[in-house]
Amino acid sequence: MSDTLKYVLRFLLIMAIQLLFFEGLNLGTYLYPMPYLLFLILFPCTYSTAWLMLWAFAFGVGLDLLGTGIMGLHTSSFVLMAALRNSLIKTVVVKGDLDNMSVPGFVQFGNVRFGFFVLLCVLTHHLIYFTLESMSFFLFWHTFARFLCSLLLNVFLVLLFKRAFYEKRR
Amino acid sequence: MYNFPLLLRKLLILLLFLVLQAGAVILLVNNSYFQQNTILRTVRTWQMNWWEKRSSWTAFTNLRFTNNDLALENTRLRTELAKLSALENVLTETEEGKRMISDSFSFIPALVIRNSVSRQHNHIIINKGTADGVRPDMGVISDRGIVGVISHVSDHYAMIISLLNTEQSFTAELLKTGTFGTLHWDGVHYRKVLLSEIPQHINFNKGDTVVSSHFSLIFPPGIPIGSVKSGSLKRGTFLELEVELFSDFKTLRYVNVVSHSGAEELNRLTDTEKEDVL
Repeated sequence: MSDTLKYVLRFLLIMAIQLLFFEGLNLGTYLYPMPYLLFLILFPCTYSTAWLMLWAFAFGVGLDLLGTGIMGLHTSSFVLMAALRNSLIKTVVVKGDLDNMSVPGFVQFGNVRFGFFVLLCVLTHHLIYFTLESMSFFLFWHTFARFLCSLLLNVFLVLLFKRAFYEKRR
Repeated sequence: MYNFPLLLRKLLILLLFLVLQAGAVILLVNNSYFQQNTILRTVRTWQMNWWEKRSSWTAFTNLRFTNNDLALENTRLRTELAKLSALENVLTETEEGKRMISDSFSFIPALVIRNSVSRQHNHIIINKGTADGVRPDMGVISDRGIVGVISHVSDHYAMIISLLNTEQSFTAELLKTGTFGTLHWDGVHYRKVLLSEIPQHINFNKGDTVVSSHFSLIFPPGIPIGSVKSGSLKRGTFLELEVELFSDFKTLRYVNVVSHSGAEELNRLTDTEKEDVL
């Protein structure tokens, strides 16, 4: 199966799961499950930033259109995460190791480093998402609490799904 | 692309990033974009079917509470019916009375098939649409108070901007004094909303009832919304009251769309006034 076809299928699958299951889940004000962030993390380490951003844009627009939130929120934050993803990989991984790595993962990065990488990715996404959603710092502590709780939840969810479905059996 | 010098490539990537972000911001600012999209209609229909199935399960688990609510509602309605039919006898004797009765509200019952309470901009979707007489800008109430206002309508479904949406506000008044103010949600808790712009000389007590306003074109007057929990002076000029809602948006199931037979005419009237001013 060609890589592009694989990405398109993954795109559709993750989008469907996010829209049909996680968007309908009411976990309260403080928890907004967004495991779709895994989509960008799964691309190969050497994938070009430009293409990453285009994927992120398409995914974000799809999510904004079909979900019930306000437009542009997911798009904007997901594109930013795509723009920074490759730099984040370089920050996290030991220099020189990158050449023999295919995709980001527990085995390739090591558990701690991969966890840290996911944390940074989700952090960039959530910073923009929750700032734009509240559009003001009027209720700063409230927004901050939502940001923090969702951050922890989503880092957990992304790691969980990565481990459960996208990790090669050793 | 890989033959470009490194710096140029980085600049191009930055440019692409800026273009995509600009696209996102345009979407964010221009919210009406998604009303114009016709592809959405098909996709929404699939989604609705799925959500309808999901919602029927949650409804089943909430059945006990819903029944309780319905019983209460029945009692209330029966009392009201008795009162009103007595009134109607008196009123229909005069021409003025006949006109008043025809210029009233009617209700379209609907079922909530999708609802959220945890976002800052919550929306509700119901299973009635244009085919059932639902139009945009109609109000929606439940047996425990106001729910929101219709934003978009398809043939068999309608989308409601929930009261729990930080961008939406309604007019409401204190039952005791008749003072009206703006009712809006601050995005914090799904049982608490704020009633602001109440003049500071107004006395209020904890537990005072807040009802829908007499000036509202979308809701019948006097629908109970919630009770006052506390109040504080904002910017030294107006009181802001914290109102605890009677309705629990999490278990919302049966709602009524309010159609006001005089609304269109009244809107036309206010529109001509605006044109005159301009």
